[in-house]
Amino acid sequence: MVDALAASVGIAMEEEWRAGVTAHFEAIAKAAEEVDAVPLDNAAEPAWHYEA
Amino acid sequence: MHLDPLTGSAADIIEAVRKREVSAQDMAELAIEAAEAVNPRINAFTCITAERAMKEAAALDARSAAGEPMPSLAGLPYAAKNLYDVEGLKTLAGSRINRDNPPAEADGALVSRMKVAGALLIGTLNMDEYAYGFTGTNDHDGDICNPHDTTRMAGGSSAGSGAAIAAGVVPVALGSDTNGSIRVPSSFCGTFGLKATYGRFSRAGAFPFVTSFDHVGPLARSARDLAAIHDAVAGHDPADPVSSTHPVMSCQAALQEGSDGLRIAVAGGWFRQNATREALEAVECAAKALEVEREVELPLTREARLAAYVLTGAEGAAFHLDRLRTRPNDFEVETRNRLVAGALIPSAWAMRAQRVRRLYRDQVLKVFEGVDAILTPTTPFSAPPFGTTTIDIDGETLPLEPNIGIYTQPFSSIGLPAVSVPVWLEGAKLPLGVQIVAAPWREDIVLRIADVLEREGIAEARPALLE
Repeated sequence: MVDALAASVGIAMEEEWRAGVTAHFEAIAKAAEEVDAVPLDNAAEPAWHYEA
Repeated sequence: MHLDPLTGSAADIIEAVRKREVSAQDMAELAIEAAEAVNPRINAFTCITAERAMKEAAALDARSAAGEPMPSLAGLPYAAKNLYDVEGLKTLAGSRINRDNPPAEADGALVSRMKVAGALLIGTLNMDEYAYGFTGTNDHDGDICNPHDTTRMAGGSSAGSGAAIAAGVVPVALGSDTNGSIRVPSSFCGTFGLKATYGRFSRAGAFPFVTSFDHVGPLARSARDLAAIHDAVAGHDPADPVSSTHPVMSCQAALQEGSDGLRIAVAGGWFRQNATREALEAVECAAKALEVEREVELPLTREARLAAYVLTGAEGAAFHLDRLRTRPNDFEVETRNRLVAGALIPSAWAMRAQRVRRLYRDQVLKVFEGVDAILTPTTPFSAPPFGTTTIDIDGETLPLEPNIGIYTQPFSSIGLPAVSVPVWLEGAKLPLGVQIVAAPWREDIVLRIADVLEREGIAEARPALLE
């Protein structure tokens, strides 16, 4: 999957990177899963730039 | 090597230059000599800008001789992380790829403001590649060693900044902080470090990493020196699109108020987990000196940190996408692998993370309605030896690097001001940072508390005595 995703953004994955990239992507996916579990109502705004 | 004026505070040096007890050229020469003598041991500098420093110093001395008033940082030697543009030098940002860029045509905003204030640029400082790291290791320029124990990490990514101060080369250095990169080396090297409110210091002419998280700022040997730098360089800059027009107050003047009347609490929950006994003891030490008895919980911190992790990958990778496409093998292996993984993040994950980030910010600001400042450890442990990949805490073995910034990252992601102060526990051979966090634009509060801890003898930036 990482090869196809990389190709879709114009990065040519090389054999020797695959394991490292996959490990990092899996760690990000795990984090994203936990973030996804936070209850948000429809009015919850994204924070592109923090403004005090 | 132990050069007396350079192990003192910036305030002492500026006062001595103002009174003509020492010339700016003397200070520049001392700092250049110190950098040349010490750098082979710590690898903090990537360039010593001797010619520039001597020119700046000579111009100041000429003004002094003519009876002109001296600017606020007159004769203060300092150095800057090599992601700042310095006129005539290539802005490396710790990378190999940037070596192919032309030299900077002008100084970055903070370097320029330091020059106007009379500070003398002694050199540019080594760092983690593209600021993506907490260890102070670099395959292109070599690893930065901790002056208190050169077998140990200086912390990153502003590793050279922390190491140059701790080694007694300069009393002040400029760093940058995306997820903790000023505060982590401050903790490991035993310096004071200020990450001001997002938008307070101009980032124009500083090489970006994750622009919605990126901050720039100083490391120093005292809270008073951080306040002096704040007052000299803070202020709106239209060249930085997120630079704020919020009024700037004098932090130096605010220090006189001490900490009386401030509502201070220790952070519980997340900020007591995964920390060594020593890190918690350092916080307790500070809390005791400040007579703090209250504890507060910051809800959603774990999730907010994970959101910051996702966003760092996504935004950092988007910034580097062209380089990942065209020169992937010129990155360090780990930087490249992390950035490529970040480039693959679906937008739904990133957008969700942005919404959690906003929610966290709103909840933390509510906590600050009831307190003025919060104390946490800066890092969960002191500087580890090079080569360390895991750390044992409470009987659990954890991966090292992802855990270094667990207490700093949440506050960068929502832009709050924070200062790290160095604490030496009794008998300790290494310092540990205590982090003080306040509501937006209250740099005065974090610096007031840091100054009190210093005056009480709890916080101290001890120079390392390198032979």
